[in-house]
Amino acid sequence: MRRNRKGLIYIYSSYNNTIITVTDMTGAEVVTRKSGGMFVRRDSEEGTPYAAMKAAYEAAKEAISKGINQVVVKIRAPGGHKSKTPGPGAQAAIRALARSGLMIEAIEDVTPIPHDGTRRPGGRRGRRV
Amino acid sequence: MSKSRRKVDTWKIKKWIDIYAPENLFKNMKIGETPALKEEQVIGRKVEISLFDLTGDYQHDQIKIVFKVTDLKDGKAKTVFDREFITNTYLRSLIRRGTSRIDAEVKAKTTDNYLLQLFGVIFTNRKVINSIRRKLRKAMREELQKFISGHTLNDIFSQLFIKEPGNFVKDLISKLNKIALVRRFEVRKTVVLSHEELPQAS
Repeated sequence: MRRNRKGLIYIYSSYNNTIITVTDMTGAEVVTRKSGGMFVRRDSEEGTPYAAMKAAYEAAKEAISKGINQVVVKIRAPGGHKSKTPGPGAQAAIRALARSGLMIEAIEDVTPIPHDGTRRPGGRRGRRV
Repeated sequence: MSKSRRKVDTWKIKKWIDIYAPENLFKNMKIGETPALKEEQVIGRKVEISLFDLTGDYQHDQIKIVFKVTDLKDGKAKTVFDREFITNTYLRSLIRRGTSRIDAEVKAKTTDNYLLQLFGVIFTNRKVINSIRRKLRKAMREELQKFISGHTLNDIFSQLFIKEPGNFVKDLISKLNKIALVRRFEVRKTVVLSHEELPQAS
């Protein structure tokens, strides 16, 4: 019988990149770590859904080969005083994980939300673009 | 290339160690496995799982429990209760317009010597003014203090988290209803601050 080994998948999704980290269920041992930038040539493509999909697919493949088959997905945006909504790669990464054969137990949003933290940079008038 | 090969090798050497839930709460139920190069490394690791995994009841899905590994015996990792909290999404789903949310924090010692810090939240039916909020908060704190200091950790688990029938929550709400109508009570977070083992005399 195959053993059910649980793991955690952390997806950090910003506008510029998507980083996927697979750990064991205590979070102490990293199984694999993949990012969008590892699968595309141009820096501007690191945060795209395609890069995220590739990264998630590879991460899932490696996790399965290392014996993990049941996961809890924890997704986060940069948070803090930065963007609190996950970037474009998040959806694609989750979809790729779901199709990879890993059993997804739960998907959680763990974006750090400040209870009033530091001031957002940019001055009073905001960043003038 | 040589670097990546070395990585694969260490992964294969790693031993998977079973983690068991605390004896006093879930009767040494197996909750999972963790890999480690040396067995001692497992001590101090924390496992976060939802209460649903332990009880199999879907109502417990939003409650998270953290266990901490403290001891290792014949390749089995033993854990103690470390903290409990409800997920952010669930807490947010309870907040509604035109109602009040009242938080209270309590520190108390259980009869089996766990010093707990507990964060309770109540939600009212209608928006209430500050004087009533203060009254509700005070009443909630008193009730929680009384409950914790008169019970064991196991009782607190079964009544506050698992919510077995005939429970403390119902009493609390009916008591608070005399001040203002209360819709809901939740334990937002519980932390074990310290635990002293009782002497084995009894």
